[in-house]
Amino acid sequence: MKNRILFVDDERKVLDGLQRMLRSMRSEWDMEFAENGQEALEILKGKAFDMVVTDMRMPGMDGCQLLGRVKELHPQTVRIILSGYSDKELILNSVGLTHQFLSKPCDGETLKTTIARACAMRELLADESLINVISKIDSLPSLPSLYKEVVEEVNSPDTSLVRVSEIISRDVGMSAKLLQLVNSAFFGLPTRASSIMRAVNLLGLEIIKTLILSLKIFSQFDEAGMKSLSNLWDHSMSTAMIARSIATQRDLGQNQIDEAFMAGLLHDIGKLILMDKLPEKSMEIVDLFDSGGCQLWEAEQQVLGTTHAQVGAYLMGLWGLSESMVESIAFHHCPSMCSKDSFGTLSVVHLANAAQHGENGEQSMDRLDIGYLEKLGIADGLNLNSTP
Amino acid sequence: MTKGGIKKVLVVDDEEPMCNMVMSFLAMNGFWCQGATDPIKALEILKDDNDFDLVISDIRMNGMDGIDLTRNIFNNYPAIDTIVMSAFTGDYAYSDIIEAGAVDFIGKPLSLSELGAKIARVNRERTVRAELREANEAIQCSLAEMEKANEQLLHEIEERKKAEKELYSAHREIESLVCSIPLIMIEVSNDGIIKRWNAVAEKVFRIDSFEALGMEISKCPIPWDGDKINQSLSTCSSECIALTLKAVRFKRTNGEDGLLDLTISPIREDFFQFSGLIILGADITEYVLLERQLSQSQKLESIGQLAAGIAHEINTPTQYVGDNTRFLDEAFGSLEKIHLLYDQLLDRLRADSPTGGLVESIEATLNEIDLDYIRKDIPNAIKQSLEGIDRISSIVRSMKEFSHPGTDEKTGVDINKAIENTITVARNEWKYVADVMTDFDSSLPPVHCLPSEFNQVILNMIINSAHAIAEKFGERSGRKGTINIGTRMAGDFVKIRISDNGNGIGEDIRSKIFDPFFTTKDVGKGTGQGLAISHSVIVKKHGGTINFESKPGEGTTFIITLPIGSVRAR
Repeated sequence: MKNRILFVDDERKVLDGLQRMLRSMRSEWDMEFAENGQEALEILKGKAFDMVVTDMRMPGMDGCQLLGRVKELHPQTVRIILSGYSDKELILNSVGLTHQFLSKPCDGETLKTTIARACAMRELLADESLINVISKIDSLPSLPSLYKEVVEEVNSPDTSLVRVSEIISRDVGMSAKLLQLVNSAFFGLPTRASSIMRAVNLLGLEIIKTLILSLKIFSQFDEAGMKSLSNLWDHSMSTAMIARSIATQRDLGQNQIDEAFMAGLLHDIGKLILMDKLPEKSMEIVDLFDSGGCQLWEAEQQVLGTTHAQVGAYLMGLWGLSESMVESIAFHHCPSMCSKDSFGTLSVVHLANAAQHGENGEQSMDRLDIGYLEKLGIADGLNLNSTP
Repeated sequence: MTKGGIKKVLVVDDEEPMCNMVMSFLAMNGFWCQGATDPIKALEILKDDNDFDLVISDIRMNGMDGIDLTRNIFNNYPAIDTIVMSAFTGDYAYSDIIEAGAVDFIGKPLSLSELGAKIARVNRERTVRAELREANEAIQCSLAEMEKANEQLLHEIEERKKAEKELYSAHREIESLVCSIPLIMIEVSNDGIIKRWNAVAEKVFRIDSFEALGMEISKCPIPWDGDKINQSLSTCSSECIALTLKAVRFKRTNGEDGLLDLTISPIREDFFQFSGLIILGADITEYVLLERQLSQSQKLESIGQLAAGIAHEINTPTQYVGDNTRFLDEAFGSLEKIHLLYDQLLDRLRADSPTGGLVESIEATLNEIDLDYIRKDIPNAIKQSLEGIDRISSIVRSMKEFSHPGTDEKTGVDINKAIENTITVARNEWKYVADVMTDFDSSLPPVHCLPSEFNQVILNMIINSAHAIAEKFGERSGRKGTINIGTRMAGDFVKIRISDNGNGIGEDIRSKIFDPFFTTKDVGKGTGQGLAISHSVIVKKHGGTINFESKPGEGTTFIITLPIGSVRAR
């Protein structure tokens, strides 16, 4: 089935240009074009679209207003802004409504890849209602203590970016949101960032403050949810640190070391999403898992028809995190299902995750995808119970 | 009657006949008398009425003798004299009587003539005494006066000393005040001699005061424009007026050129007299540099405000030019593909070889590449790309002309063109809320003005109009207002009208809109300086006028007039 994409821009020539440039994709995508928000909403009423790509500043209904309506009426539709406008206030307003932000002029390759990747994400999840729920997410709950700490830090008269980064990089939800903002072109940042420290520095104190204090892009988990997830933060943090050690030992280079840490931190973000958005199903899964006889992801498959790995990967993909991050999250249990078979972030996260579970006294070997490790030629001599 | 004379007499004798006799004698001689037969009674009488001048007392009496009575009177009533009379002289020594305070003694049996004589003597004595006392009092009085005068004199001396001290410290204060004035201060006498040369002058000109003082100012090697200064000095002293010299060039101690602001004022001694001239000056070099930087940064600020909008204006055509070019690239690839097949076909036809499956494969390729679409759309893609390029060029050109780098002097400006540029540059500020219509008088001559500052004013007007319209219709309503900009000749002036149909200016704030920092915009939406700067640019720098007409809810028209010819620099 072709993916359906709707482009919205008040400049006809921009739409014509896009239509011509993306003509080569016509066998894969059905593309429609609207010159204003009203028209776009009319078109969306008629049929379901996988994605809306809209300009920001338009007379009448602007991009933010349009995406707000789309989020409400068609939550499963991926929302992307393609704008040449750099007014900070407008951009900040779009943060909660937009999955990804592309800045004009945007080269053809970036546009095509972004659209293609977001479309591909759809295939991770089959269930329409799950897609609706996840596509609506604009922030993920944080550990209350960390949330409090970060708010206090940005409120203090001598906020330190180093301390802010340190706090954020201990929290799964906050880290994920921040990576979304720096990896998309929201603030016209020249480079992507794979470490929180770099992300925080790129955004700068003023934007960080606005994001946290006015826009409240972070939120805290309530007590009930906390119990069943109590070890998620510990597990994620430990996995992140193990991943960093492995990447360092392997001499993967600073960028990949940072990425390994972040992927380790975020690999179980799907659990957080499920517990936050589908608490009842999550309890069902936990019960099934506790009754024994299956792995957690098998229980998830049984209840949801998908796993937390896929759910996490789906949202991170929508948020525009790098492909290798998304793969690492999606396939951290079974890397051999991924098409890539060279040693990379996915391999590191897979090993680190198994090792971390090993630390808790579980059998790490059960968690290892031996076929994958053999293919990489590193199956021999692994002793995962003694972590680096 | 003489001073201190005896008028009232108390006679004391325990023998009543004696007492009466003396009294009648006294009364006959014109004295006012009272008698007492008992000394205690006598004292009581005196106590009630001490107006007596003389007491004539017997010496030997019951209860109290004459000596004690005399002593008592002498001690308590110093103005009363006492004459003691007694037959018993043997018992009382004369000296005792006198010592007790009596003025005289008269023996008994009494000789009335002797008494009369004695009273007369006492009377004489009293008169002398009274005169003496008076004289003494007068002396005391003048002594006191002298003392007082002396005191006053001392006080005056003290005051004068204090005043002198105050004068001295006031003088010192003035001197130190003068010394701490951070200005160059040079005092020149009427004959041109330097009388004062302060520390600032020493520092700025690097000439010590001992060198400068006493020298003729025209011969002092001050590194300034000597001719100009000397001429001004003589004008000032001959016409007795103060002069201000702006931006006088001089050599700074670092060898670079600097600028001084100077005032030369006559020092007025009284109405007709001048004692010399005082030159006050400041090195304004840094200030001028700072001012230049400031105006530069204001310009940059407004360009910065526009930058986001201009980026958007440029990014949009860049996006579709890029997309079209990518399409042309792909389309050329497709055309190349079909062209290769056509070439092969041509070769075979020329060689009369059979075309084999070539026609089929051409047809398949035609289908694949959708040649009809490509042929139809390539001209559109080229046309729109060229339009995009034109759009970008015009924005960039306008931007360049708008900011006018390097012109801070007045030049002849095509006002219509300048306004057109500004409209283009600011397009992103108005295009979502308004249409801009222009009505230019094509016969306008070049207007002598500061181009970048003029553009700044027009920009402010357009942005204000756009905000007024956005406020009226709401920024996201999709309804647009209109901004009309027109130019006309009006005698020696050019008249520019900028009207909008926005929400107008309320009665209550009309008088304030040109004040610096007055703004109705939300914090962050404007510095509030726009109209104040515009006013200063048009009125102060160009000698023009800026006014407005406004109806709340209906719109505002700003009317700017600019003189065409060159105006005197500010």
